[in-house]
Amino acid sequence: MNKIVIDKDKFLSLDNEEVIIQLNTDNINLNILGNVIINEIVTKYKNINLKITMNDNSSLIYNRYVHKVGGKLNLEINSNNNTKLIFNNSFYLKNYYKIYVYNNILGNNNKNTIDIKSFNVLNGKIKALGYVDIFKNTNMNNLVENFNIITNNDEENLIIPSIIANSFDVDANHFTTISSIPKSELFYLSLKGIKEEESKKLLRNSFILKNFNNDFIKDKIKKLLEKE
Amino acid sequence: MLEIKNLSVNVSDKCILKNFNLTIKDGEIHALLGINGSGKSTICNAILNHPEYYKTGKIIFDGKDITNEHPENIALMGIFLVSQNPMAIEGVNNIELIRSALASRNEKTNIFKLNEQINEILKNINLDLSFASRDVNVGASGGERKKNEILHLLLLKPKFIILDEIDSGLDIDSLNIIIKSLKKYYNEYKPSILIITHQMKLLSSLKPNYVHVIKNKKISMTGSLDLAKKIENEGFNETFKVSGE
Ligand SMILES: Nc1ncnc2c1ncn2[C@@H]1O[C@H](COP(=O)(O)OP(=O)(O)OP(=O)(O)O)[C@@H](O)[C@H]1O
Ligand SMILES: [Mg+2]
Repeated sequence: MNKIVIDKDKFLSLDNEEVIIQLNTDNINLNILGNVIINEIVTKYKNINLKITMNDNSSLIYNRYVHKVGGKLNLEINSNNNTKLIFNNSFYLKNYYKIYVYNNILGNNNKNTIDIKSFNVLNGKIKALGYVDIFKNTNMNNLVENFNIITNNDEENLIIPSIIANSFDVDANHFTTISSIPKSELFYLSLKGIKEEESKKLLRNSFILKNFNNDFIKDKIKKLLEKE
Repeated sequence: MLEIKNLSVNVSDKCILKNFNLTIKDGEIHALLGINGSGKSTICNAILNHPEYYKTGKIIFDGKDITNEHPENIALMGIFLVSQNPMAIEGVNNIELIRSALASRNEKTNIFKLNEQINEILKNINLDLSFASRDVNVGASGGERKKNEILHLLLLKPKFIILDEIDSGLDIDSLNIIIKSLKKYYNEYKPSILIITHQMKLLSSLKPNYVHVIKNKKISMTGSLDLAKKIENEGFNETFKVSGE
């Protein structure tokens, strides 16, 4: 798999490829053609403006994992026609992270799924904005936003969904859950004699990894979490 | 040996068990019967110190007061509960769970040996081999979940087993298979067993030393297998009427 390190602001086209991406700069424009998979693991504080253009008939699976660090992601997605985007972002947070997703649906027959999962410990908290703008005279678009947070502290999290539909022919849904680790699952695991600390780790890992079905990124994340 | 002394259990301010007494000696098999909602599952969970229960009284296991012990420590002392509805845990792999459970018992596991062992048990209980690597009980039927619990039981080798309606959800062939593995385990390890069931079939095969009936929040009647047969034939109401309770 290709590893692309982006050090200065730039415009990058990806065409039918799977890449590991490392963003070391503030402003990036990604131009998506064909079927693309992007894997990104963030382990340093960063403030990023990322713009993704989904060209006609393109598809993108963006797997993103943020490990411990705070930061900010401004993500702007522009979907044209017949595109498919899956943006999976898991967080294991010990600091404050802001993620703002601006989803512009410019054409027809686009399917976007945004899945954000955050497991917060210590000072971990998240502010997530899901802003969707569906342009006039567009048809057959489908959007799902799923924001799930598990908190293990008293920090307040903020989720702001905002969907503006200028077209009737759209199916847009937003789901948010904020909870602590389910007690019933902890009890079930304790019945097997598994220590609470260990059970919490199992449940944490499963929650974070649920977002991905790509062994490459899963293995990387597991390695990072093992040390926690 | 397990001793439950004058136990009362409250769940969300509702009194479910009151002055409940029961002693189960090593190697004994006891059955607990009672109508729906009489508190059978409650006593099972209370023994494992379910965090949502408020208890007074005492539960002693092998001479140690476990009334307020952490559930995982109670499990590590050798008490294994097969709950009425084993839950599914998405994202936690069955084998991962088994390895964690063995690790907390300080058992070194050779992954190849463990896999072999698991496959053999799965074959014996007629459960698809894919269950080893699947997420715990996710997408599994009621019967498959019960079998998966038996897999855990056979690997973790408890000395005290609580079976809360192990037969519910099992088809007749599966029930026979489970009975066979439980009997084999009993003959080899002589654990104590507390069986909760509504079915005679399981009782006549496992032959409990004592049969108890919960009524009015406590054990109100104790007898032998004949008591279970009587209840099977006449129902709880009639049985209590005849005895003058
Ligand atoms: N978390 C809870 N909150 C409130 N009431 C509860 C709770 N758990 C159990 N109960 C009540 O306690 C009583 C006993 O329940 P329990 O599950 O122990 O019955 P059971 O004898 O196992 O019944 P069944 O044969 O149907 O399995 C019931 O009336 C039930 O509704
Ligand atoms: Mg019950």
